[in-house]
Amino acid sequence: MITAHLTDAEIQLYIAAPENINDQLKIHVQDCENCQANIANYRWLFNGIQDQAKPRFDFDLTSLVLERLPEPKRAFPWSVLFISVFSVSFILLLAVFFWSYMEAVITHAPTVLIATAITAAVVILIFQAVEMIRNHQKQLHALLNVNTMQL
Amino acid sequence: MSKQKDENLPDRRLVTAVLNGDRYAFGLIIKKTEGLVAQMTFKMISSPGDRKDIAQDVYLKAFKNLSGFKFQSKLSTWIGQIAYNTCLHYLEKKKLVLMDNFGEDSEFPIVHFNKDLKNDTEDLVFNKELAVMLQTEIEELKPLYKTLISLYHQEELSYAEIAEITSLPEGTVKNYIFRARKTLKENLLLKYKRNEL
Repeated sequence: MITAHLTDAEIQLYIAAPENINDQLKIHVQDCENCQANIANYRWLFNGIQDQAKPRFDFDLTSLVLERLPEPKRAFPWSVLFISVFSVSFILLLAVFFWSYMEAVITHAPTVLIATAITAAVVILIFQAVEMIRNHQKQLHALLNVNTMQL
Repeated sequence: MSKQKDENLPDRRLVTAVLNGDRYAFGLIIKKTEGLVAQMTFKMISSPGDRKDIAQDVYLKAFKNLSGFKFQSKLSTWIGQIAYNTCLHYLEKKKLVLMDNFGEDSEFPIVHFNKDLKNDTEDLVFNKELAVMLQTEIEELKPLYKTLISLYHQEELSYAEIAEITSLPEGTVKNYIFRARKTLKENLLLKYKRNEL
């Protein structure tokens, strides 16, 4: 049987991971009041630390942080830009390529026909603009009435 | 979805939601990890006002760098790392000491904390007194030891997780925790004996 008392390291290991303590030391503990007292003290210490009240912030950290979060940066709409540039270039190319034909149509068509076409285009644009404004107002209304997150 | 269920969402879902602009998800991350951050700031920073600023800084840094989080560790460990480094930076700025070397080991007489008590009330009072003594002794430890002890015993983190948070080798973490416990035990015994006299 081992006669030397367990060291502090061995006692801490005895409590935290008893499976790692060799049998000779376990036998010594069974017969040694000194080591048993030491183990009891450490066991009390382990439990005492664990039972200490956990610190808590006395303010609402979540709200404070969420208030300070930077606004999300919107990614630059490269796809929209690419489609727009492509569409405009395509129309311009068509206009340049077919300009002589278009010029002939415009000069030879009656004034009434051209006025009708322009009026129709303007009316369609006005309708589209009205629809856009309505949609915008509807979305704004929905955003203002939406429940903000509650944590 | 209930609040309880929300708080148990896995890290990956929460992080993805935050990266897609969901601030509510970031609030859940804060709720999930603020205990750990509180533990570290309370143990490492003594000024309550500074703790408030530091805790906020920790989460602002986490939010800023969240896209760089690659799930190589738990989200709480990653936030713990940020908290530890932020506190460390604060201590360095204030020229405060995170730890000193302990003196050489010395032998102390064996005393029973659990003396024979006459009744339950006496037992309760005695244990309360000891708990207060222990709290005082923990507070008197160096910030690093306080932090390591709390992370291990109260937050129940493994040595490996603590090593990851503090960037210390696992062996060093084990050694520091061992020394902190030993110091606590010895100081408590001294105080206890002094009170007994």
